[in-house]
Amino acid sequence: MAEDGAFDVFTDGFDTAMESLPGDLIDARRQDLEAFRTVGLPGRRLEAWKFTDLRRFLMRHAFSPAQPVAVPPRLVEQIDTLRLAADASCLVFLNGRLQEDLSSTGGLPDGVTLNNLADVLNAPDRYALSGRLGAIVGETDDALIALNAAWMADGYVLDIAEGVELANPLHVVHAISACDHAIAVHPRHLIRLGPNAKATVIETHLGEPHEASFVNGVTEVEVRDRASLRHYRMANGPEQGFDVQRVYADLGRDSRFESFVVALGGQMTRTESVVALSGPGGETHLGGVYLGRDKQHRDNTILIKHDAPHCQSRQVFKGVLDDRARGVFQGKIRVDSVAQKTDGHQLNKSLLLSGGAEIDTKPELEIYADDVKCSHGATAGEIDGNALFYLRSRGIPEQAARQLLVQAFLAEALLEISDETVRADFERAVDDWMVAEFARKEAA
Amino acid sequence: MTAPLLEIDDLHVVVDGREILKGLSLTIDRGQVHAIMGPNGSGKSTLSYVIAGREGYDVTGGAIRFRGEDILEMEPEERSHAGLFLAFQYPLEIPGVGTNTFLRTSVNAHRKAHGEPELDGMAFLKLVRSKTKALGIRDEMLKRPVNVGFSGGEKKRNEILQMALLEPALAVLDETDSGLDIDALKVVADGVNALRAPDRSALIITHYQRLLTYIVPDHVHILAEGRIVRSGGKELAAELEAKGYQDLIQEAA
Repeated sequence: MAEDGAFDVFTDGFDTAMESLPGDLIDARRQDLEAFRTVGLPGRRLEAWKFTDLRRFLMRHAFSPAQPVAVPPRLVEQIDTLRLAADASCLVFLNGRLQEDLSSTGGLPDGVTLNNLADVLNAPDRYALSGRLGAIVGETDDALIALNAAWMADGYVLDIAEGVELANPLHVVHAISACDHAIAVHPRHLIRLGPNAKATVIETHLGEPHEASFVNGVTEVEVRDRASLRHYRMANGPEQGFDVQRVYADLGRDSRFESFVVALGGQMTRTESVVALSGPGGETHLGGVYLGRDKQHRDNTILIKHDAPHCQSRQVFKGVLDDRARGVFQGKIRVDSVAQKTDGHQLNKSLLLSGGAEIDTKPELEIYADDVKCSHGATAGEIDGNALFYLRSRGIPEQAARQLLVQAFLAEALLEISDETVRADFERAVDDWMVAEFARKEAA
Repeated sequence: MTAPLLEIDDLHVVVDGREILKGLSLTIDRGQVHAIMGPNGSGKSTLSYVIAGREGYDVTGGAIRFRGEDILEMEPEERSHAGLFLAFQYPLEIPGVGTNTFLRTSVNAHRKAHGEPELDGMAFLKLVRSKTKALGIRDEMLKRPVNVGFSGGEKKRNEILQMALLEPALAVLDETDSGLDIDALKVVADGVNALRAPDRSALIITHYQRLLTYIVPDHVHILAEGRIVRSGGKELAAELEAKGYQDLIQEAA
């Protein structure tokens, strides 16, 4: 039972709130809430949360479910800055709820079905989804998954039929506007690619710097045989945002799943990816750039399950931490005994710009097959003083030289993004962060 | 009367608690090429780094004046803007920074410091192409990250290219001849000679005499144990070649 108020806020008021939650899922939601109550919010007592004490982060705030709010004008401006093509498909969620008037889904080819979760759950044929939601996550006693299942109100459901290619990326914007009270949001998304299907999904997190927000997102991804999904995320949440995103992906034979996350906004971000390579010849590339200042917290936690032979996995994560920011990288590669000819690679490098910044990196290899190739590397260090002097001796001022070296450091990770437009956009966002960060330091 | 271009006066420098330069004095006037020769450990590289402003060198006595101005309080970038240039013995490799970006950032930092408009990509490309041809530098090299995967000769040519772009009043060449074959040496020497002008000077720091057959100095100094022990004309280099450091230093003592 509760030892502190840290999770009462997620159970109190459930009975009233439940009325407005979509779908006829009352019993299931109650069960999930009970499961959450039993385990409680994860904290440092759990190995997986040892370096990210979510309990401590969240207990200072009295979260309650988000009430409908007016669309902040700034959100409209921010969406404009994404410079989406006129015919781009874009879903906009505000505090977890779809904003139909800001979204556009025209131009989707035949064979692509895109809906929001609330509609799907409320539709008479909602059972189309039964047995699917939660199938990729699988059996789990994870408290946050249970909490998400209890409270999920909206999200998106993307289905792409066999052989269909989504030529233009799908954009999904998640905006937070917590004006007068701390809010908790539990988005739930589902992406399913049939055999030989192809798609790119770009998610952008934005927010207004007001009250605290807790986002407990779960995305399930199914990539069937020979299908290919590129999933990009720009985590630029609000200053007071606590953002946990879990992505569970299941990959079929000869399929490909590429993921890249830039985390540069929000008090706390944790991206947790669980990728199961279930068919032979599957390939997954997970990459990320994490940027932190002040006391921001950036966590990337990965589990790659090589459950079939001849699969490839690649992780490249690089971060820059300033002030007293803290980074966490936990990367686990698990190779099943049947997964011969596995090729697993993992790299994590951090640049610490201040003596108070910290990175905890934990690579784990668990290998039960004998014919595999697995490598991992991790480094943490400061800006190379010799390189800095070299640049300055050529007349480049110190801050500009530092910035150049930091950009160069991150370039290697950003190269992992195979979509050139997205790469250029993400590079620009990273550069903007850097310019602001160095300007702030110079002013200090 | 104008002050000399560079005036080093009784310079004492301590590195890691050990005194490396022990009262070094040297004056270079405009338009002159000076060579400093010395055995390993005599303080040659220390001198070049102190002039360029590298951290970790404690000046415990003496002064360095450039155009009459004390430079010891100046940041490395300010010294560069003032017209000082150090060609590194071991040019740094900087993965992730394209050579072209690096060169353009450097040139524009200088232009900005001198109140000149910065060059755009096209204008810069034109400028850089006007310099690369003579140095045998291919465009492809400019696309690669700074010095990464460059041969020894390419790295040194890249140093000379930077010098040609920045047109310093005083270039300090630290062991620029080390690791070069005779062809590369000639290219580098031609690059330096091309910059010789009545208002430009160079300080060539070297262990061997061979570079000085291609860049003929006006003055030669012998550095031993942190001091200039002997100075002379270009013939001193030849004498050194014939007798070796041991004899000359003993004669000077």
